[in-house]
Amino acid sequence: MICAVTSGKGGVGKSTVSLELAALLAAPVVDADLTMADLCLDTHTTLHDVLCANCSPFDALHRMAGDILILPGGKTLAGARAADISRIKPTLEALEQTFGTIIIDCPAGLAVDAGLPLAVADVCLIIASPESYALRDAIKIRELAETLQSGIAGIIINQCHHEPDTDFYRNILQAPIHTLPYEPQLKETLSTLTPLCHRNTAHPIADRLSRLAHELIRADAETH
Amino acid sequence: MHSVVNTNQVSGVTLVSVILKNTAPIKRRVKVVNELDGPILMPLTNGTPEIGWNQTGYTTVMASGVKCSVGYACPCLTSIETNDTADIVKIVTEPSTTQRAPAAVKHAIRTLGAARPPADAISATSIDAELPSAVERWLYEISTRVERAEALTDPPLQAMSDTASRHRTTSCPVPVLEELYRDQAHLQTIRSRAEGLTQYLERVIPDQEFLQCKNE
Repeated sequence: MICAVTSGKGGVGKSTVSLELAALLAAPVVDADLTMADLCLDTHTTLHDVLCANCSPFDALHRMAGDILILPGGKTLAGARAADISRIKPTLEALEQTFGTIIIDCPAGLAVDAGLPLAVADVCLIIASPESYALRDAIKIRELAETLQSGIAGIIINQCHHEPDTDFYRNILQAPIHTLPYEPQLKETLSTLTPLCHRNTAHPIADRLSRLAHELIRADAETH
Repeated sequence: MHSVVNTNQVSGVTLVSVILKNTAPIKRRVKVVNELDGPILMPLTNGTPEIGWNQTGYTTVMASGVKCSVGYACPCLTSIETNDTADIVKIVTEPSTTQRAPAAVKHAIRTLGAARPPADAISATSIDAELPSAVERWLYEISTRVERAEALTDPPLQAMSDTASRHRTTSCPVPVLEELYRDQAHLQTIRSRAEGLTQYLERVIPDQEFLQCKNE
């Protein structure tokens, strides 16, 4: 299963959710953001090198604490310009053949590096925050996922300070809705590259993320 | 995918109806394939099969939770006594690999814009103002020639006033002087073009502060 975690707007928690899901599903996570990657490791080969055919995707994987495999994104504009984005499909498929399941942390927006992983993915998860402007962007990315024939496994309304009206979102977005409350501890997931579900397995968010991971597996099984 | 299949035989024709429900939380492509011993008499409009139909069956894409009913006729005389619907129709939900249609990948590459960071992610101060290496090399060569000519000036420039320096003498050979005049002309042309281009560029690129306000 190739699962793309995407959003119309940046800063809604894609990379955090991607890393948490990767830990729960024991799957590698690929940061497919060519220009503004969050899962960056300074001393390692990146997706830019893979897309420039400088190395194989397996050479660019880095094992983090808790056995999480990360294929980090590059941060240089020169690397982004040199990358051949059409190589993303064979790259993701090669990883899927080896690991079974992979998570793609997609860039925000509607550019080609956001759309191509959706075209390749079996299922996608759309992340949005409860604000109205984020909802507009979620609708746009949902339309893009539909155009590119990516199965929408669900939409996560993230960083909720109050439990949102899921029926409202379900009616607008026409997809299964999941909610994640605002949790300051999740910030550490990215800063330390250590998922909350490893740091505190009893945390309520870890439980919600675990259910989300099961939902993804179910969604993928239904497509076969 | 949940399905209910019903058949009814009338005058030697078997009428097949299939009710499908996509129980998956995602959109799925589904194909209803006729397994009866006879051809499909599919729904026609002005003699043309309706969308999704061909000689083997019906194909459609169903959103999550959506119900869909399909019916066709088959001139099949053999009586249907089995309860196994697999002998009547086969419901094929296409595997995920078909979602990775090259068409979708090509569509994404052709129609979506190039990957680039948002404009407000690059502040003017963070831009590396280093010149291209060829330009740097060319300027270095000119600077070497100017330094060499300065060394041949008599008396040394540091000891001269501005007025005196304009009437200085030099022991530069003529070819070296010609090269210096050519360098001077090139630099004046570059200065004039750079000024023009800078003004043009300033008219074209949006103001950083305006972009930040817009994004807020």
